[in-house]
Amino acid sequence: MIMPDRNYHESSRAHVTGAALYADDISNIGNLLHGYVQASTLARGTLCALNLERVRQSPGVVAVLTAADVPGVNDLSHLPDGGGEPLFIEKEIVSEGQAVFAVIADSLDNARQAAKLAVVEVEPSSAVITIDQAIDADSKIAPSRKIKVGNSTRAIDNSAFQINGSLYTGGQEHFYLEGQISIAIPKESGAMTVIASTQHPSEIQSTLALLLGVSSNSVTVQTRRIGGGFGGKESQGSLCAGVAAIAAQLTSQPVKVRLDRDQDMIMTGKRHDFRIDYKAGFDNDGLIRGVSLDYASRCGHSLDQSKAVNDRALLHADNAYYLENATLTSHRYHTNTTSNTAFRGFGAPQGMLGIERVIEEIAFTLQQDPLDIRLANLYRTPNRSVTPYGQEFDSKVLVRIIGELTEHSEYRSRRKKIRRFNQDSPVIKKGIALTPVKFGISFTAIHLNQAGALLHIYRDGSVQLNHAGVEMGQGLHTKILRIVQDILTIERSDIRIMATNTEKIPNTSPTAASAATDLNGMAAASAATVLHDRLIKVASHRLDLPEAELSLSDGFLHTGDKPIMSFNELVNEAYLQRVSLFATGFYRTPDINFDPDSFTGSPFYYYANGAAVSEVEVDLLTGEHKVNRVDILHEVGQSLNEEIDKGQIEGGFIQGMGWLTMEELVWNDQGVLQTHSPSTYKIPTCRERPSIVNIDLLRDAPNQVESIYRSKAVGEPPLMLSISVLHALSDAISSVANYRICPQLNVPATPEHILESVQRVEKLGLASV
Amino acid sequence: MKDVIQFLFRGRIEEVIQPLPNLTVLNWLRERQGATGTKEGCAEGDCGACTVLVGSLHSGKLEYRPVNACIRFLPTLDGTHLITIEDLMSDDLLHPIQKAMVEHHGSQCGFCTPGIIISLFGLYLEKSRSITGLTRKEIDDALAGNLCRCTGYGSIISAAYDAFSSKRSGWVEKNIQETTSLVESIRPKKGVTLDAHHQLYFAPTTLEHALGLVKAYPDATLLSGGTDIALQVTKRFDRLDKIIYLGQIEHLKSISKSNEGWTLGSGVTFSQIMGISDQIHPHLLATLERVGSVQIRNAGTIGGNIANASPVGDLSPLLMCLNAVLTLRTNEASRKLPIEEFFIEYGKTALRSGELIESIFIPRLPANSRFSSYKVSKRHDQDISTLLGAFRVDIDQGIIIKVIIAFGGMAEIPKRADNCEQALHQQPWSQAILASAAEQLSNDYSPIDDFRGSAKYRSRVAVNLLHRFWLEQANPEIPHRINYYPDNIVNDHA
Repeated sequence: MIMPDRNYHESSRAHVTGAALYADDISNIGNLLHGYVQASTLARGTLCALNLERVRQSPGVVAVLTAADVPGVNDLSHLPDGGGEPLFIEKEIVSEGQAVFAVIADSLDNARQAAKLAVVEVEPSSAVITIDQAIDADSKIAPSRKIKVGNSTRAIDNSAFQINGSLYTGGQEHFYLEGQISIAIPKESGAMTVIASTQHPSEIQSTLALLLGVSSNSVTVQTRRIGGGFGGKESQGSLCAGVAAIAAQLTSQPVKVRLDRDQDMIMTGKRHDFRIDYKAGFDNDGLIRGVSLDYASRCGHSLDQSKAVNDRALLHADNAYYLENATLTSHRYHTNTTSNTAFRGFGAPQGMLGIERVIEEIAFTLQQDPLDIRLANLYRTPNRSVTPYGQEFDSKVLVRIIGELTEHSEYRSRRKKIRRFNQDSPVIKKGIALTPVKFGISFTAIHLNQAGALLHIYRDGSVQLNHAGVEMGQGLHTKILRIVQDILTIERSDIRIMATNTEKIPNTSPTAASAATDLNGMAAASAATVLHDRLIKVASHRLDLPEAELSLSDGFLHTGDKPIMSFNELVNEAYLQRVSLFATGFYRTPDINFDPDSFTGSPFYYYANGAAVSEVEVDLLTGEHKVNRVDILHEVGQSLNEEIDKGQIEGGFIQGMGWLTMEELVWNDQGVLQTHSPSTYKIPTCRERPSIVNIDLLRDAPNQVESIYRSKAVGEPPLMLSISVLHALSDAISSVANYRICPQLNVPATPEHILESVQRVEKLGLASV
Repeated sequence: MKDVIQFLFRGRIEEVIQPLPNLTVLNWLRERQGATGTKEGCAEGDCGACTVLVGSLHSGKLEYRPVNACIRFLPTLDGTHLITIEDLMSDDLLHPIQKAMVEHHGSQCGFCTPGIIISLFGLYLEKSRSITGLTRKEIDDALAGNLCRCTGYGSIISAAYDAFSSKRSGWVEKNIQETTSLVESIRPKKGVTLDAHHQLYFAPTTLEHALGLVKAYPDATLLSGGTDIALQVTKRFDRLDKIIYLGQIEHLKSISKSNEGWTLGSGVTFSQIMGISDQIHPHLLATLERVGSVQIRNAGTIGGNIANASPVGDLSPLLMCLNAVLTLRTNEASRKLPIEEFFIEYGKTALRSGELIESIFIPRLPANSRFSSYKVSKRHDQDISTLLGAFRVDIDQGIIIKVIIAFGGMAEIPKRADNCEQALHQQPWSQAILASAAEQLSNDYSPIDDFRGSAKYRSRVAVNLLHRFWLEQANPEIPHRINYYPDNIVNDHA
């Protein structure tokens, strides 16, 4: 069905005509210089000497920057303790991809050619690359964290069955189509304006203030739209912005720094890779009596957001299951690799994989459908409803979702059919799985749960809308426009959404944690309501009617059903009455608390739930596979825009599927990334999109807490629906030994990993006959 | 010779005098024309954000094909029509594809969108000559070279179905007659010579001229589709100081058929081969479809793929199985060489100084030949082979009288499996014989470990592919490979 115009993405017309401007498309900047950042090719060692004479002499070169040229603090870490992440290497090299120096020239080509002329002397030392190496070296970057409920050791020992094992999950490159970029434009009196592709303008602002040695009020950061973020532009934008701003300050000319794809993939952080060691005890009923999950993650060379990412992994180690006796531990390892960072899901996807593997192991041990083990272990009110960190979870919606999805997808009958198919098919094996998702919504850093908006109405009735969130494709601006439009009852074309700008809204939180609509939508609604109420008051004054008898609808002031004056006339009347036509809105999420030391509290304002059934086929000769069908039932509360929400669900699912199946980051023994461009790092193409994708939004399920229009956040949760693909693959593989052996499939399930798993299952299957 | 190139752009003939030979179409558009709708996503032809349409004349007809602007040098546009995303609207109206992309929420962040639309537009123009409805496979094929990280593609697929059901057409389709005569008027008759900023560029229009240049400039880079060579400029930031572009030589693009077989000019593109591959053998297409993307196959040539001599060049194992013979030319002489003798060692071929690959002859397969080939990679589309196996047996009364097994990705060059072949030659065509011969593959190849796959994986799969060749011949009624488009799956839009 075609939706009415107002529901389309606010930039869609500009997108499809090529008129939408991204940072690199802005062409009217005079005297623009271009920066090229030379990255370290060594993972660990010492920078002994740096001879840049020939670089400086090279044609077109205006400046060459090193650590010595940073006017303020040479640090990008944004952490109170600081010092973790230099913009430019000073002496110690701790990862490939760290910036050694930057060339600023009249063209990007001249800057690149010049950079080749540098003489860099380094002294290599031994590097810690893999998680296993880091565990052996005990190279922790932050203290381990633990959640303990009950007594898992005793519960496991006292159970009828015990299982244990390990699971490796690879990292993931964001592969936003628009790479990292910033343009710094010097202004008078030491001020600087930066156009940045970032999810977090305020952090760029404060980082630049530190780098430049100025106060934040000298730096303005603006972002109209970005070509994808997915978490990769939450903290990673500081590199380009930092180099551009320092160079702009030094040369008094505008400077653009854009990483090419290889630089971007080598230099910037990715999803954390994990090793998860699990141990569980259970009885014949399949109920988990006790479980221990040990999460070891590769954080890379600096802390960045690793603490929060690993915290969220622990907070989702339960996924949808009640754990009476659990020891959940998170170890954060320092490695000489790129500093891993936020990525859609923020640790939760990895957290969930552990317990889903445990479920699978139980199902194989007891020879039951994994779905039944999942159902048995689900949270249930009242006795099985408290999470390991102490927050109450009402599973009614999730139980309903799984029930409806099982039925609509015909999971049970298809599972039988698939088993019959496999009996007669020696090479192609099919598999099916249903997995649930329960995802907590709110930043676990409680202070980030705030947002602001600023609304201007001009005398002609046109409106400028500013808020703190960044449009990165998720449809945030489209949703917020709708909210303001609904309150002021004017056309969308009368409202112009402005670039996100630190000049308009200060101290913004990153556009992250799925929470941007929740937070900014409330703030924008608040600002719009203030102006709405003022206009009604103006009308009441002018018409001498009680406010209660006046209302705005369809762009007109009404008494009862009778239109009296247009919105534009009313606005002008307000101006003449000397009533303010601009307002701010502010929102803070209520009722959340979390003590990161004891790891207890209610960090989430609410949970978003969903479930998916995936069906796959696997080629036993090569390990290649295809996902044939996906059925999803997901909860978005009262949707602000159904098409946009479905787009988030499908996009998140396919992105998660890429992480779990084909996207493989490979470093060599020296810590040099081997897969740093789309020719070597493969994300899903159109053909990977299954032939059948049925996405349904859960009907009649408004958010139980007061959220904007009772909607629910949708950015991250659907990514984890893709875990069903991994388990469907596992189901298909296990058919080779008549479903008796758990395939223990690692992530990503590349053809090679699938074939390894097939061979393992075949071997164990033969041994156990 | 002339030092100016001409191409049709925005409805008029664009003349560029002495363009920089290393300047890409993408950078010309973005930096010189301010036409920023076309994006850079990777600068290596792997993401499709830079997709543009290039129209050129083929037997008097204007054919538009999507290519990657990021790895196409501007001078090679001489005599063509360049279409970018900015060209699609007419009279302020969105093209049906643009309109459908809006209405189906086919764009999220929007950065890949122009490239996606141009690729679909290429298909749209192609399909306008066809009466059959749009299939999911056609969409997947058309978009295999366009990455989208936001949507998961579903909304784009819906948009494509919707747009292709519409009858309306934009100005490109309406003005095809006028455009054809304009392009005809700038058809390069004389070769181009450019000498800009110490970069030499020649675009001869005859083979003789080309051979003369190859002799005069033995260190020049021979450029055809540029899908690999251009990366030296866009990825390694090297400068190609001397380029001889072979893409304006009609003779090298010809395909001829005789009773004995097919002769393909070395400048024949992958897309062209796909048009006739069914006649050579019906099993060829499935492998050719997995080479690169539409954009890459529109540019990449058969000669380039062979001369490149990459261990993972996908064409070579196939051609080995088909007993292809190369014709190598200098201005003075011509010689014929079976393709397997062309590859000597890593990076080294039998091509002599001053020599060009003129054509490839593919003999007709005898009726008793059984042939198949399998490409294995992490991703189905636009991925370099982890390995590729090609198999052929000619059988007479149950006995294998001829056998060719060739692999890419298993050695430093595309290479035949001599020991395995020997174990099969003159043996009965049976599973037991094949299984025992498969053991010989470990004597034929010592593959390497790399990020595409371990040596162990490659060795194991090589054996398995030979097994699949048997299974498919022996039991054609059972599926032995993944079926991407099963009959029982009815899409919700068709």
